[in-house]
Amino acid sequence: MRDISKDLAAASAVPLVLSVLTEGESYGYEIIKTIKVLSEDQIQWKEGTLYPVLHKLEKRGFITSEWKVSEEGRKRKYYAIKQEGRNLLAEEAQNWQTITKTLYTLWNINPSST
Amino acid sequence: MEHQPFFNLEAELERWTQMLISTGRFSQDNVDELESHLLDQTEELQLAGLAADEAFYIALKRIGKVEVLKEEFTKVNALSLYRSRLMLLLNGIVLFFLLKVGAEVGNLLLALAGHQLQWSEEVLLYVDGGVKAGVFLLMLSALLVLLRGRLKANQLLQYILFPKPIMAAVLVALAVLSQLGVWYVSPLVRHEIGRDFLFGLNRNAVFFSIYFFVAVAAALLYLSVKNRKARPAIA
Repeated sequence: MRDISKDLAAASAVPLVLSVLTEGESYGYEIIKTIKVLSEDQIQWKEGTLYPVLHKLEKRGFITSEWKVSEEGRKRKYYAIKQEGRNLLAEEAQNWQTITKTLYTLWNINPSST
Repeated sequence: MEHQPFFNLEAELERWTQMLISTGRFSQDNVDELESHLLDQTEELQLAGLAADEAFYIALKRIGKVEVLKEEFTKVNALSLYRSRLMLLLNGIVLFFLLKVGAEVGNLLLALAGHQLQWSEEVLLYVDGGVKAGVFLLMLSALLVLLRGRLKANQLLQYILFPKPIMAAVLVALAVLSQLGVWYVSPLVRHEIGRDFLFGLNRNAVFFSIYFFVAVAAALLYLSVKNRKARPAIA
């Protein structure tokens, strides 16, 4: 998986961000790192990709943000998921499952064996 | 990469955030967030063994060009930026007219007082100008106190420039229009013009500039308050 198309990256960013936030609040830099590690370096977001998504999600009321200071005195903007965000993620999860299931069927892949 | 013997992280950061601010597309909150990100990245690279300057420049490279960031942020921010600027403009207009009303009431009170105390026209003129200059200075010092420590001098300039020519043009147009309105509507001023057109014109020119500066000061005040809200509560 080399280059994920812009459209796919944009479409998958929302469920990915929301899923990371269900594990607990986080800030931009950490979210990018988490996704990078979980995807085994396959998904490497740029700042210009992630922050607009976070801001859009916040504006639409799916997540909240709060400035906090770390022990070393560094301030970071933490994002946390709201109930609305969890609802959106549940919907997204269903849609993504439908898409992957259909693709797997077409490709004759047994999901349980992958 | 060559090492810079006198690498100043603070100064380099400042330079970069200024670049972001000068595009006019990032809110203070956006800038703070990106700055925090850049510092995280720099720190991590330093922990991996890079020198401060190397770490910073690589982090800067990874975060991408300001132009690209601007484009990506604008896609999402465009509408809200436009909306917030429009609100700012409307707030400015409302403030401006409130000030006008205040000034007119002041004029009337002063005229009444002058009549009661039998001040000559010249004394009245000086008292009037003095009161207005005093109010302006008061507002200006209030603004400076509010801004103290919040913005550095060069940032302040950015915020004055932020509204860009259109805002200044609208303010000037409003000032001119309202001044014209005063000439035609206010019986006091009309009377004065009828008697001594040139004198009235000069006098109004003086107050025109005062009103204008008050309006600019009010706009600045609003910007600074807005900016303070956008900033984290910690400082």
